[in-house]
Amino acid sequence: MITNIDIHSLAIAAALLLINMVISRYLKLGMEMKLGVAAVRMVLQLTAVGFILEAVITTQNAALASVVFVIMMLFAAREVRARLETRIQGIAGWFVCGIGLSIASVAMLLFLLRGIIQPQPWWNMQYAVPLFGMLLGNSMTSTALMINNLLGALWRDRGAIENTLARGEPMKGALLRPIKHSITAGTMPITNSMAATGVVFLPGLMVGQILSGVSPLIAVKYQMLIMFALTSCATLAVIICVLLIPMILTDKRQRLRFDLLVHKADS
Amino acid sequence: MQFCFEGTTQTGLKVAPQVLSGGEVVALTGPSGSGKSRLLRALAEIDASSMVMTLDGKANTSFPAPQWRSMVSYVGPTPYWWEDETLQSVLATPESQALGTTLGIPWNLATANISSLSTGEQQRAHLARALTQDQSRVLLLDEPTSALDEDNKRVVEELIKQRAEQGLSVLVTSHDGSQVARIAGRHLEIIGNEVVERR
Repeated sequence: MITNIDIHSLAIAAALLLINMVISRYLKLGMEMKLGVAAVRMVLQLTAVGFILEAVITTQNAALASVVFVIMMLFAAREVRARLETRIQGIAGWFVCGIGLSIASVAMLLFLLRGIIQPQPWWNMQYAVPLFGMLLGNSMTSTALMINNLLGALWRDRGAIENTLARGEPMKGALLRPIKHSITAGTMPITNSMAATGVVFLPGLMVGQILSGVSPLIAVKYQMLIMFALTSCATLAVIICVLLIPMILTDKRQRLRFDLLVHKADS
Repeated sequence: MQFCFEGTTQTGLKVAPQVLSGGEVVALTGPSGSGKSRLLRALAEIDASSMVMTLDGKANTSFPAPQWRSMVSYVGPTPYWWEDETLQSVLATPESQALGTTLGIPWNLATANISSLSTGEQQRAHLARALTQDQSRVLLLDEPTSALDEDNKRVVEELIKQRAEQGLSVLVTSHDGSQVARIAGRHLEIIGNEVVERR
């Protein structure tokens, strides 16, 4: 059984950040405030999440869990949008940022709960909530990278896209290069992570299970399951977005709606 | 072959009914920013507009957009490339390669990234590809010789006349009055926000 960490131990661990702050001060990096704010944010967010998860898991309240899931998806969409250099204006932009990762995460969660792990009951919150958080978090990173790459390429390569269209190529031909690059950009981190797992680093889930007394062999199986699920989920989220973006940005005469794009540097 | 158009472009330029016949070279002039490029882009459906266009009596909307663009070919003033393009990949057909040779394309750089070529060389490659498109019925050339020296300008002007003799309609923008006189049989000018025929 894992030993509970007391508040003093946490405080000692937090004090390690002071070393970073001293180094930042000494090298005049100006990072002290950012580090402090980030640490405080993390403590507040995790504390709040801890209480919410405790309530959801102990009560097994599906309605409360649904609200938590929806809030998580909205925050994920907001986080994706905040990372973009080039955005789609208006509600369509929010939609693109949120829909792919939401559909992919919900679908993968259902698959894991109903098809693979099969807890009793299948919607057991002890499994559903942390799994959903992991799926959403990974899809968020992949989606943000992919959308940023694709919209950035559309903005940057507008001339090349229009020249290709002007030669009579259909839109899908004109967008082939940026789409291929963006899919690679979006799925590269999770693919690399999968390849390096177990050699370069031990993932948090596995470490957490081992620390809490689970056999390493069982922890490894869970980790494999999670890596397969995370990679598939992130790829699905990326594919949904990559299909959606050209649909939103193309008019019925196969012209790109550049007027819907807004670039951070110009806004 | 008849290419007809009228209407208003995205920038508010009003175009009275115009007819371009096969074999005709028509010049379009006007001050910078008057909307020449926007008009050509609207005719090729690169930009949205409220222009009404027909080719041999058939409306543009009766064709799939890519087919319309391959028949009504817009050639912009700036050659934009994908980052992996080379002369070899751009001039892939025997016709475009032959025309490239006529225009003095530096074939020793065939496999180099095309963006590493000079502006003039890039524009010549751009024109060699555009002027040899099979399906073109109308050529919309937007300042096609803006980055070329006098010798290459004359070569391109001859090519434009040859393409017209083969039955294509050509609408070409230019700021060079002597060039207009050399190649165009008709002259449209943008005055204010209207296109008028100059006689």
